[in-house]
Amino acid sequence: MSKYLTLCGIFLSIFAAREVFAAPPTYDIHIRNHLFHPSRLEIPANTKVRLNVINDDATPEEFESYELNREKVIIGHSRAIIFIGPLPPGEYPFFGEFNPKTAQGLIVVKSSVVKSSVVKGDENVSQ
Amino acid sequence: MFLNSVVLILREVVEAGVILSVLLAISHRFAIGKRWCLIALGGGLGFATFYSFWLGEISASFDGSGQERLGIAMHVAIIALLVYLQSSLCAFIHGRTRGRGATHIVVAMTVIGTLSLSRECGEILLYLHGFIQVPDYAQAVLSGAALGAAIGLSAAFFVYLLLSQIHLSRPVPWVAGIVVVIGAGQSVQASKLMHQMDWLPAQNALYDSSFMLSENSLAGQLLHAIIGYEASPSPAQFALYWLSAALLLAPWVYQRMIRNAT
Repeated sequence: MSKYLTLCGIFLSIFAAREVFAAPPTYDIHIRNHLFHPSRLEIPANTKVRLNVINDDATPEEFESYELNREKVIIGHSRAIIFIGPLPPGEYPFFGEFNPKTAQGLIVVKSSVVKSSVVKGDENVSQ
Repeated sequence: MFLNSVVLILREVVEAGVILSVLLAISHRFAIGKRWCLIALGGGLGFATFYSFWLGEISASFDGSGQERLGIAMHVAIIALLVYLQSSLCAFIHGRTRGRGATHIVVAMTVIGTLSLSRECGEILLYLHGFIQVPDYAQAVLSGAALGAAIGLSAAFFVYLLLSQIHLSRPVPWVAGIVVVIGAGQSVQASKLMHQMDWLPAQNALYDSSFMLSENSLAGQLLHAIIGYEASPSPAQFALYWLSAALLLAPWVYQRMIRNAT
C-alpha cells in the first residue's frame, strides 16, 4: 500500500512539475480608449506565449491579426486569453477590428528576448 | 467609424446571407418549401441575442476558452449538418426518399440557417449594443451598419437569384460543389479557433498567397467569410479543409458508385 502511495506521489509530483514548467510565459495587453497598451510587444522566438488581453473600455473590441491568424471578441471590462507561437523572428501586426484606425499593435518576435520575461501592461518585468 | 461600421456589418451579413441564399436556392431548385427560412431567422435572432448577452460568461468559462469552444462546436455542427444535407439531397434527387427526404432536407437547412445566423448576428448585436451607447459614435455606427446590411443583403439576394434562376443543364453538380466549398470553409474557421485555444499545435504556414490576395483587402475578407479563404494556412488547417471537402463530397461519390454497380 505504501509503495503504491509513494508511486502515486512521484507521478503527481512529476505531473505538477510538468504543469509548472510547461506553463507558457504570459503577456498582458490592455485596451484603453481604443488603444493597445503596450502597442509594441516583444516576445521570444520559437516559444508559445499566452496573451492576456484586458479590455478596460466599456465598449467591446475584437482582437484580430491576419499574420498571427487570431480573432477574438472581448466585451467591455473583461479579459480574454489567446495563445500564440511558437513563432519565427519577425513582426506580426494586430488590431482592434471595432476600432481599426486607433487600436493598432505590433508583436515583435526576437530570438534575444529572455524567455521568462512577463509584460504587465506598460511595464516589462523580468522574472 | 462610419466606414468601419459598413465593412464590419457587410462582412457578417454576407457570411450568414450567402449560406442562407444557397440553402434557399436549393429549396427553389428542388421544389422544397421555403418556410424553414422563417424558423431559422427567428431561431437565429433568438440565439444571437442570447450569445451577445452572455458572451462575457461564455468567454470566461473553460478557463477562458469558452468562446472558442462554442465557435468550434457551431462550425463542426454546420459541417456535419451539411454532410447530412448532401446525403439527404442525394437520396431525394435520386428518388429513394421522396416525401421523408424533403423533411430531412428541411430539418438540416433550418438548423444550419439558425446556427449561421446566431453567430454572425450575435457579433452584430454585440457591436451595435456596445457602440450606440456612446453618443459620439451612435449616428456613424447606425448609418454605417444600415448601409453595410443593405449591401450585404443585396449581395446575398444576388447570389440567390444567380443560383436559383440561372439555367443550368446539370444543376446537381453545381449545388453539390457549392455546398462542399461552403462547408470546407467552415473547417478553416474551426481550425483557426483550435489553434487559438491551443488544441492544435502552432505550425509554420504551408504557403503564403497574400501577394495575390491579401486577407487585409475587402475581397480577401469577404472570401474568408464565404469560403474560408486563408492567405497563409497551417498544414493542419489545410488538411482539415480537404478532409471536410472529402466528407462533404462522399455522399455523391457513394451514390455514383451505387448507380455504376447496378
